[in-house]
Amino acid sequence: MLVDWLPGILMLVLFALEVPIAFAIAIAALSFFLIDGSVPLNIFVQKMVTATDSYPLLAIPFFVLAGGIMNKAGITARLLVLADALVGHLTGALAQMCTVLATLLGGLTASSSADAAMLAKILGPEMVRANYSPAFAAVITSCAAIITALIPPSIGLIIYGYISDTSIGRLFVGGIVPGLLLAGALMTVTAVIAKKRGYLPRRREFAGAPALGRAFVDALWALSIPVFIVVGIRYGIFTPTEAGAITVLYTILVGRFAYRSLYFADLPRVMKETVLDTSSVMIMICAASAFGFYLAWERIPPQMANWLVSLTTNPILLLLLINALLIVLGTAIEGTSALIILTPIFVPILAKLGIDPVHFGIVLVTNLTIAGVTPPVGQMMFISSQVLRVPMEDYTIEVLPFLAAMCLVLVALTLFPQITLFLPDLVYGRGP
Amino acid sequence: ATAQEIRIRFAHSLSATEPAHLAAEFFAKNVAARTNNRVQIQLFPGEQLGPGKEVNEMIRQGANVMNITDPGYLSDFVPDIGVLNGPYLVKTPQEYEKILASDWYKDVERRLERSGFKLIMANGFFGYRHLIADKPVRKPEDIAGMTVRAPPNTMWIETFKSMGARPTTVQWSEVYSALQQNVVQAAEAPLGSLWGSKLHETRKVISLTRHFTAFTNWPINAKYFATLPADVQQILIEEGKKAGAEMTRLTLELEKDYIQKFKTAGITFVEDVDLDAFQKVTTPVYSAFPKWTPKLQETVLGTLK
Amino acid sequence: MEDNTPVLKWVLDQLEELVACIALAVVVLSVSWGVITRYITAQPAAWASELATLAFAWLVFFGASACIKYRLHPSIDMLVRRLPVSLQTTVRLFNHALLLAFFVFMTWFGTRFAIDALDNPSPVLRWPLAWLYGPVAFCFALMIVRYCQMLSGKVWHVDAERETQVI
Ligand code: NA
Ligand code: NA
Repeated sequence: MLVDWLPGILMLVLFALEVPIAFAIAIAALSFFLIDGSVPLNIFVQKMVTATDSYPLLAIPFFVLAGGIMNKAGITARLLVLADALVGHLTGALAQMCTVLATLLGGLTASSSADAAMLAKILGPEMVRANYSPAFAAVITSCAAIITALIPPSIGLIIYGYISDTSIGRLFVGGIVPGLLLAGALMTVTAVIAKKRGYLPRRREFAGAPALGRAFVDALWALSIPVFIVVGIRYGIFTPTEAGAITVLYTILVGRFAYRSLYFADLPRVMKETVLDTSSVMIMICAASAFGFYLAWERIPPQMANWLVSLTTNPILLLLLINALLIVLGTAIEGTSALIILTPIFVPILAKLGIDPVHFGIVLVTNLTIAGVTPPVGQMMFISSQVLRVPMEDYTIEVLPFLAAMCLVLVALTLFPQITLFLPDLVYGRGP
Repeated sequence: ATAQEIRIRFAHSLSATEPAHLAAEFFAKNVAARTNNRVQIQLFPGEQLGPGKEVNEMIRQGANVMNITDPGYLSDFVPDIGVLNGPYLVKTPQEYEKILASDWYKDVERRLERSGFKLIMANGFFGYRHLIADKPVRKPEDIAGMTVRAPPNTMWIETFKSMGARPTTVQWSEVYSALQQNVVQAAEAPLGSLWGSKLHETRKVISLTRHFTAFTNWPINAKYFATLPADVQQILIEEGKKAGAEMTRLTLELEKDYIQKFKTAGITFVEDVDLDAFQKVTTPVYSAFPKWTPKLQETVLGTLK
Repeated sequence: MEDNTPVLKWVLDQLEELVACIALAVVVLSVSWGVITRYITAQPAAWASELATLAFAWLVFFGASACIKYRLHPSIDMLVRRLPVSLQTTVRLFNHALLLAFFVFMTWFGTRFAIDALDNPSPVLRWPLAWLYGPVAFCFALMIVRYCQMLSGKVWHVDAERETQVI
């Protein structure tokens, strides 16, 4: 029935009318509660508020705050001096560093949103200062964060494994190669764009060993922060979410006592920036949660899935179709909630058609994490754009070449299950 | 509204392969058959409509939805029912049925209805909860000092504290990595959930501690239930009871399968757990809830005689 | 009294940021405390994660009200920007009315829900969930005030440092 789709249409209309995105989503979701009538209006309030009751999302303020403190304390500056000495002679050096850093961070953190916040805060402004377009900086920092969802640990893969009854260990190992593939694709696009736009290398030739050595020694304390995170997580001192809070405290200690360049009087201003950035993102996630309830209640995603299966029973064709559908759906709904709604619907269909659940899980999580950078709704897009003050239309134009490359990776992952499966098969033996 | 189609949404937080979901499907099918498809029950597994506690609140607020919940969650509204979630209260589903047939329980049901919850089903056995760790746990001393994952729930926290363990709250979705990375040393759940979350990839010993004998409830909004035609009300209640029995049967049957599956996966089972010793050390848990009616444990155990 | 007035005015003006920053500190410290107690005390602090998520809700909704003051809620002006000026004015008036109506709705139903939640306890601390929903209703009431202040010409500036400088 058309009336079931009305809130979705209303959302797009309100977007066009310049209603702030968070409130456009919220009002569209509210229209469902008003039209449908079988759910009390109080529940709308509940859905908005309980979206904050998510432990993993705490990583957003943690890493925004840690990034803010690292900057105030001159930690970021020292890391960038080191990076400059290392790869400053490459074209588009800062953007390439962003992807490499995201790949390394991917092994530490489990949430793409948190990584988007960290990358945007730390590298975004540096790129703007080096005359990269702010929209490009927002795009590369948010796209690079997608890698985190594939390289273990990953919250998305854990959720998928639980709902679909798939081995989380196999999923984790399965994510590594696709994650690296995605990094390669992003770096290729970056190289082409950087060359075309003349995003210059910072110097003509390599900085030289003595300069590199000095930069390295000066950055030792700064480098101890990721080491501290890795050691803490690997030896189980804290969970990936808790790592955020501990990183904040550790960063304060390094800034105050190792570099002596952080003053406690600086903290209120950094904290104020953190709450403004966090809440403008989170209020959108809250509204998206109420909107996701409408989609689930009206069973809109399964309606689309059923329609899809009626089109073909060829597994490869169906997988490609599912990817296309998810890309469309993914423009409007956020990764984790989409994952929760869609996994139980697709998995029985796949089992019938003989598609490996690990293979599908990686494709699904990749796809729905890419949804985080497709306008008009996407967590990582919101985060990076907010930090760098980039309007959505500029972001949309800049993200297109990266989206094209990531869709190519998706198609490759879909057509060739072995890209995903050979590593888990190697580690765990062939799956059942 | 007699001839009209009645549509009820039935949400829960479990996966679609578990006995709880299969029993809900069984219920939906039978209700549709007996009402000539007049009553349609749509299932929403895997937290599609939100976590269990949120769906309970929806029901209380009057939304037309059912949920798979348990006495622990319902005790937020009628504290006394929480006793049914207590450690080592009953040993078998048959004993639990006796409690459900008692006057004490009838009174609890009335109080739940006043809070907005009509229970369509109360007798579905969810399973014994057991402990997965790196070492065998036969007696309370074996678990002393061990960091055990617990859900954010007073009953669990008090129970493991009373055993001398160190309960730590970790979200269920983070349990696997918490075990893998040694944030916690042990976790606990019915065998089906342990298997579903693949926790045996991280720990090798399951001790059959049976610290909780867990049952589920299916609440619906009491006012909404009262608006349904009398024949539909009766069918829902009757089919609910049948579905509960079906769930118990499936759970017991699968428990044996799971033990076999775990053994094939190289898991060691500890079967000679000193249940009496555990029952003894966990008795103080029953006095940790100030909102309960005094002597509640005695009252409930009295219904077993 | 006269001495206190500017301080009071400053506090009222910056109320959201003050509360949200305190909430942020509570989030960081309680999560850290949860980690630390796992190693140094006999019993890990089971309440830490619950307090953290409660404080997180305060952070988000007080912060969202602050974002109204600083006009930090992003919107898409692609289309409206291209309309004739008179039509732009009409659209903006419609938006103001729509947003204020939404804030009034959230205040009213948030308050009702908070009252209903007086007897609904949180899982570990057993605090009434009114501590979650009450402040949220208050934040939306505050958004009405801030939005009206803004429409009547009051201006808040983000720190000058914020736009130019970098993290
Ligand atoms: Na990761
Ligand atoms: Na999107």
